[in-house]
Amino acid sequence: METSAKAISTDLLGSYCRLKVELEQEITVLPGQFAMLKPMATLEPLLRRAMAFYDVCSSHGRTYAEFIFRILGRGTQALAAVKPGDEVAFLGPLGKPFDLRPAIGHKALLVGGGIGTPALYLLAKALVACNIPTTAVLGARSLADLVAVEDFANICTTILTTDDGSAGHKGLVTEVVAELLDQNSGCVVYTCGPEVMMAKVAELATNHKAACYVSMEARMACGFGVCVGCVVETMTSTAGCSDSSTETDYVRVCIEGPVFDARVVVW
Amino acid sequence: MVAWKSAAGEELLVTEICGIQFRNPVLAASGTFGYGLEFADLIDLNRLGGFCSKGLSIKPMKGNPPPRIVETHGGMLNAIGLQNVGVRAFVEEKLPQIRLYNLRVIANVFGFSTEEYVEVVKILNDAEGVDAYELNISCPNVKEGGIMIGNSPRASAQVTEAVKRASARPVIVKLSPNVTDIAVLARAVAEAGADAVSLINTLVGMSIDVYSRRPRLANLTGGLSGPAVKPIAVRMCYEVRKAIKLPILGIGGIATWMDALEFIFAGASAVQVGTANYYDPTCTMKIIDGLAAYCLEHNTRITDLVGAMYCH
Repeated sequence: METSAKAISTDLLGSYCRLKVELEQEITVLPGQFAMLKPMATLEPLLRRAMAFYDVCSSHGRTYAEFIFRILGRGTQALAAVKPGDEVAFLGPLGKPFDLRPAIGHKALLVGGGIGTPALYLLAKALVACNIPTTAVLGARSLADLVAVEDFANICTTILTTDDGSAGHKGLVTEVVAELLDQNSGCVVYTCGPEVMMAKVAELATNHKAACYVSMEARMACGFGVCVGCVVETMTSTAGCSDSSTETDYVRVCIEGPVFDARVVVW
Repeated sequence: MVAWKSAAGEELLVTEICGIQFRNPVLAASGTFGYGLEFADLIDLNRLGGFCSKGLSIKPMKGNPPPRIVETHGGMLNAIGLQNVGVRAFVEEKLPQIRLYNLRVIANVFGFSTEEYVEVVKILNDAEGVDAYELNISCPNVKEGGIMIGNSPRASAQVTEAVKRASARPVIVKLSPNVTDIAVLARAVAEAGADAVSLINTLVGMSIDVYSRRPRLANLTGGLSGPAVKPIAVRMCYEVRKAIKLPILGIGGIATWMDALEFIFAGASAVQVGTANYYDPTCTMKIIDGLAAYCLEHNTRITDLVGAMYCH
């Protein structure tokens, strides 16, 4: 899992960064998985940051992995500042991937919000490769926040929305999702974005009896299950727990997720 | 990085603490190493001195609501709230797999009352593959038990004494740094029969997001760990070393072999690596390599360096 990695490029797109790294060995990445990244041997930031794979390609025993993230805090600032050739601490692939099987023989609806969108690109590629009719609804606050949408448009039907109407439909992704679910039965919904958006998407999917898978985000210290810092609340039986009488549990985004069946998540 | 790949010098690292032989004094700290198995693909567990399990309670614990962690300068705050599978699941599901590896296993024990500590220990007594117990009387993130006990010399001594009576194995008591004088606590548990002490647990801290005006942890406060706490931990090891004769397991911000040596010079017989396991999962291996290289270079055993600091 721990692999020597070198930065190839960092392309800045406004407040977003597209980071490409070269791994010294070939790894197999499944859609929805993530890696823990930070500049090598720094104490600032201390912890690696969890990043969903955007795109991956392998050749001659090496893997090239791309990540797109918003430059927000100390960790993402430091990652955006790495120079080509710099060593990057890399641990991955981690986490449970998206399950494509429910979509086989049906249609797939991908719903991306803001910086959640890049986490769906490998999935879009895999769905298209399986000949599953795929539509991506990608929303953001404005044109400048619509990242990676050209890549989606090249492989599948892509509908854009912005809060301010600067690109695509003016309004929320969920409005488009509601329409699409009304018109299409037998859709499997995959979503990644702000929690309020995913909660609404999950609700729409439930109302339309459509399966829905969500990719959750959480602060992580380790990424491989030991810190138990990245939990989300899910509906599971915790009978016998000393400090809870409810039927919910805290499960790790890094091991049990990041992809969850939307029905189990407590929003 | 130390380019020491051979096993040369590793025999110089053999250490004995309360009658248990460790192949080296490098252990992983409770709460940062899961149940050990999580690291099986990341490091050679058979090279590690040992590890302390996640704190085990009599029943599984759900833990605190998120957010539970936040990075601070040179460290992090956590308020996990002792989420764990419970001692029975540890014995039935985890231990059989851990026994496949050759390393020392210290079960970290937590309870909401003296009786619960004793109950957990009694269940562990029957289990094969545990070498010692570490009593967590210093968790800052649960309301009862934990730090409520660790702040009081009397309560600490009471739990220690009760557990010692019930225990089939050596008992290490993990001390809280959130006290006026850690030496007082160390003396109290030593007199109550502890076989060793480990220190420090995390320091209570707080961080506030100025944009949302909210604390960054749902629990409001959390335990500070990482390189930022190391000088405090080294100082406390030194104070405890002066106060009691028991072996000390030094903990607090250790990430390199030099960090480990600081604790050893201050009086620790072994060290526990914590937060560094998160951001550098192979760091324990590098620390072992570094200590072995140091001992070879100085032609010394690690045990001869315990408390061997020179004073000005």
